Amino acid sequence: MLSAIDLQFLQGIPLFKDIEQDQALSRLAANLEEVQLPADHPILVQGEQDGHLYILRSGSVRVHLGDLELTTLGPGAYFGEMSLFDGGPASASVTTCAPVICLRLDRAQMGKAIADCPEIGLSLIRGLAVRIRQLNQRLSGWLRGLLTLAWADGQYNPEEQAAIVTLVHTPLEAPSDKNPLPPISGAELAALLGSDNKIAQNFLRSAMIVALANGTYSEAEDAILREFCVALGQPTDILDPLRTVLLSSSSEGTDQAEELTARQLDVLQPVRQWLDELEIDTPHQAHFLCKLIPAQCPFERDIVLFGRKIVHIPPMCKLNPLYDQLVNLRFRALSYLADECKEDVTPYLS
Amino acid sequence: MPTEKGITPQPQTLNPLELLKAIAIFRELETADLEQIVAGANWVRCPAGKIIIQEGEIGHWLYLLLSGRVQVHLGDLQLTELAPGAFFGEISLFDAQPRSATVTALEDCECLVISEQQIFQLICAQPVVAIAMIKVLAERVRELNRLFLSAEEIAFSRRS
Repeated sequence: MLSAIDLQFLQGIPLFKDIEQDQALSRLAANLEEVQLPADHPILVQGEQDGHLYILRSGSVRVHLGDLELTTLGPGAYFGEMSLFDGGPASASVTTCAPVICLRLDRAQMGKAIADCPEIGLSLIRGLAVRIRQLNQRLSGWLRGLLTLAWADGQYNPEEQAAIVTLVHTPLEAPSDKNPLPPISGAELAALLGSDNKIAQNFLRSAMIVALANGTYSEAEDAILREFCVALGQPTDILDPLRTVLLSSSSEGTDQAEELTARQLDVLQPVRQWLDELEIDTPHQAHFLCKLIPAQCPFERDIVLFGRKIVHIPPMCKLNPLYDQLVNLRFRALSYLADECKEDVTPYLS
Repeated sequence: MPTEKGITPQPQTLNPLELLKAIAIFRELETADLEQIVAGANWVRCPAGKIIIQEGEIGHWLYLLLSGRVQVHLGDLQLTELAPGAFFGEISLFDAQPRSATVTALEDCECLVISEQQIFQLICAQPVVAIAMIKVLAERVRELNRLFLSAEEIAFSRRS
């Protein structure tokens, strides 16, 4: 049983704010179990089942996938509702930042609470609806950002662009709405991805690899990446060294790459180090890299993302100043899949 | 009467109660409850290719898919494909924003269209509907998260 102060706390949190009857709130409070946890304690572990809805009473928790931080939650926030209702494993891990006090309900108690106060059911539905909308927007922004980058490259002629437009169409029966996803400006991208720093950084890293992996780095790609960086409030320093290998659309890429001086290569060192330091620690990420980075010169490759072919990569040129880093990255991704995940990587080796 | 995209009610051809029993969120309802839903709902037919919901527009209707398949998409990016028994249009209903995606009929479809007010009343009167709906929405969030993982986990942590 919780104290009167906790009743006040319950009234103040978004999930229960629509409950009008004090008695219903008291009945709910009677079913809540209070849990105290120390700092750095895992509450939910990705992939494992728990079966509770947690409401954060005090302290804060971080939501993460391995080392990848997704968000931080504070008092009043709730989590665990997806596993509770669909019976699936936790889709992310939740770990305490500082000592926390949580209130929790198990599946049976939750069912009773919703039967007693339908407002809780409506609140949960509203919360999920908002999340689905946000995810849809992020998905659309993310994909349009990468497509904008792919289309901007001077290496793509109109035929190839037309091919990409065709390729991104659904492989199923074509919808009556034939509009391809339109290119996106930095401002639109920022609006769709939201203000989360981590999401912005994640996006920029995949965008940068898309720009690098095709073997050239053009003025147009540089301009778009720079616009995206600024719009998303991220520093543009990492792009500066890349400017030294800028390949203008009017000249042959390989000739320019050959002309790189030792000094220019030295300026690329931070980017090279960045690529070398990327840690591969999830199967999704390893698969993404294997698909993204062409196996070897002179094989061409398509990038498939979200189940759609989004860009055709020309043969990787050995004169690409980052060739060694990209090949090494691909090799590490393959090794990770084969050694750590015991997966069959032969489809990537052909 | 639904006015979204000018869809007008059609005379029904199949027994609505039989079809309603196949709707996931109504599975645990009694026949009397289902009859009440049918009485207050509109029956619409959408030919293949018809845009049922247009992204960005305002709409206050929940669609229950009785027959045929529909595609939920943003431009030409397909988010999901729905089969009979599914519902759509719920996002705008619950977050009170314009339609978040476009829904197009892939085949000739039949839908039961329920008003915002009806579904709110139903959820309050029948908590099993709320729970079933939460379950379906949680699965949709999971599906979207999965789509993201391959792209988002590219945010590699640095080697220490």
